Amino acid sequence: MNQNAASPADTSQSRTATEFEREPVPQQALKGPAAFWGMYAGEHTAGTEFMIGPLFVAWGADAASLLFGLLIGNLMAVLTWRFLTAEIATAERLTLYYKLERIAGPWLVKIYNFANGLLFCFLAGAMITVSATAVGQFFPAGVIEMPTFTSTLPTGPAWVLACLAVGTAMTFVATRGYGVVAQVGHFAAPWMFLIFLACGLVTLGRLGTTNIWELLTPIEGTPQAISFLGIAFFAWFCNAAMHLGMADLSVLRFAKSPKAGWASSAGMFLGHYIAWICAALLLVYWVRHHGVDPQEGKDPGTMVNDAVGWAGLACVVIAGWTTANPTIYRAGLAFQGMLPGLSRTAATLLAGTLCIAAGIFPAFAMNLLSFVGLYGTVLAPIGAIIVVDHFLAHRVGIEADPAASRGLVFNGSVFVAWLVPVVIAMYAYVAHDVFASYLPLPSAVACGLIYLGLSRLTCPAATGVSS
Amino acid sequence: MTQARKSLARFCGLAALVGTILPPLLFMLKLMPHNAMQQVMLVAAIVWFVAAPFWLKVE
Repeated sequence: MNQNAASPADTSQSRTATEFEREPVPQQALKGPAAFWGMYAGEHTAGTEFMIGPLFVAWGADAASLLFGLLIGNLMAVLTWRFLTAEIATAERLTLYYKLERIAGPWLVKIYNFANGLLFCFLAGAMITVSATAVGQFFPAGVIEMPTFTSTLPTGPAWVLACLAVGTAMTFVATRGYGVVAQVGHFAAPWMFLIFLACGLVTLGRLGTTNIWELLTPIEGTPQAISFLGIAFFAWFCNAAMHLGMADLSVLRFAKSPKAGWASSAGMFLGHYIAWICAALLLVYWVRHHGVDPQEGKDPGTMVNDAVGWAGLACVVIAGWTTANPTIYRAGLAFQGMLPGLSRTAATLLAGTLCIAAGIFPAFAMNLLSFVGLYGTVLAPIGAIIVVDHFLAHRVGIEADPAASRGLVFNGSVFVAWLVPVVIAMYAYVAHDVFASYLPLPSAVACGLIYLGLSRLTCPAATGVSS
Repeated sequence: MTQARKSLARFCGLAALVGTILPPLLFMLKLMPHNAMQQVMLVAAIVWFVAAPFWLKVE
């Protein structure tokens, strides 16, 4: 799972990151489908996949829920990319930020940027945590105490130093831009997927069976904290910010046809299906062979090193690095958007510092199943507003791109429509312990409906202008 | 870059990918010891990162 890897444009040349930001992508800049298949396959085989598979085991997911729930959830994610994100992206050919500015006004884009940047930092922090578990393997056992799934605080000074070293290196590279790292990620993608597959094969060999159904059946007495529906919704919405939230408009606007949305299936079914199941099998081995408590879990570095050795450790570090780096870089850009006086280097350093602080605390990585649901809950509703603007505005008699046509700097309808469902969703999560991945869909639908209703009052089409 | 160098990179890259996935498969089938598998995978990783930049074009 990677919320923000490089786009085909970014991986090729940094110049495109600053091109067509405030205009539709022209015909001659469009890219063929190969760029998108490779990009999606690569960006969804990230360091955090090593956490998510084992976390399913820790949550007591049964074989049917895991194998079929992931299948259905990933299919729904692909369909969302294809029929919502790619349709809008290829019709409008604008970045999310510019499209949002045209609907919501520049001030609201700043607020969105801040929320996005902050969430990026926590996500990159989780990637630093995962990479630090690999660094620990290069030291004698016990020098760096590894966190478990129940760890929330740093495990000791050595752990803090490991996170500082990894995070500082990532931040330093991010301050230089991320062209090189994006290229390493591009080259590494096929190899990284095979390392995940290798982990699965080695585990099957060690456990002496190829009966994956039996292996994924939790041992007796394991409490089931996630259901079939929970897994399906997790798979569907773990990248909600990208598809339903429309962040991938910035990527897919370069596609020649909306069919490029099908390319997301490479990421979903290689990274979010096969890689997750292979990573889950790693913990199954440790539970069955070493008697590890599934709810305590085992850190990815130890499991991967034990299974496939140094090649696996390199994969954990590279997978974390190549995905954390653009995340830190873009978090810096988001902060720079909020504070235009800040240089890009200073903004990236600020973002990197927050990421390192988040990475030191294993709570973020160990609660990844909940965190990505909350991430989607906050950001996906913005996509619903774009969906209403693109597909429904003309049909229901509200103005399309109201901020642009009326010169608004802050569209209150968008703010209220975004805030109300998110606040209610957060209340449901905190007070009623609702699984976070159930929240992005109702939040987005509610946001779209509230925006539609408010816009009928404040921005009806073909009426007098009132700001 | 000459065509010959690119062909060599493609050959090495493919060999590295095979060297990454074949040893675990052989281990699973109990045809290769664990240590040897890990060593071959490490060599394959090194070969891959040397060959891939010459082979895979970034669009």
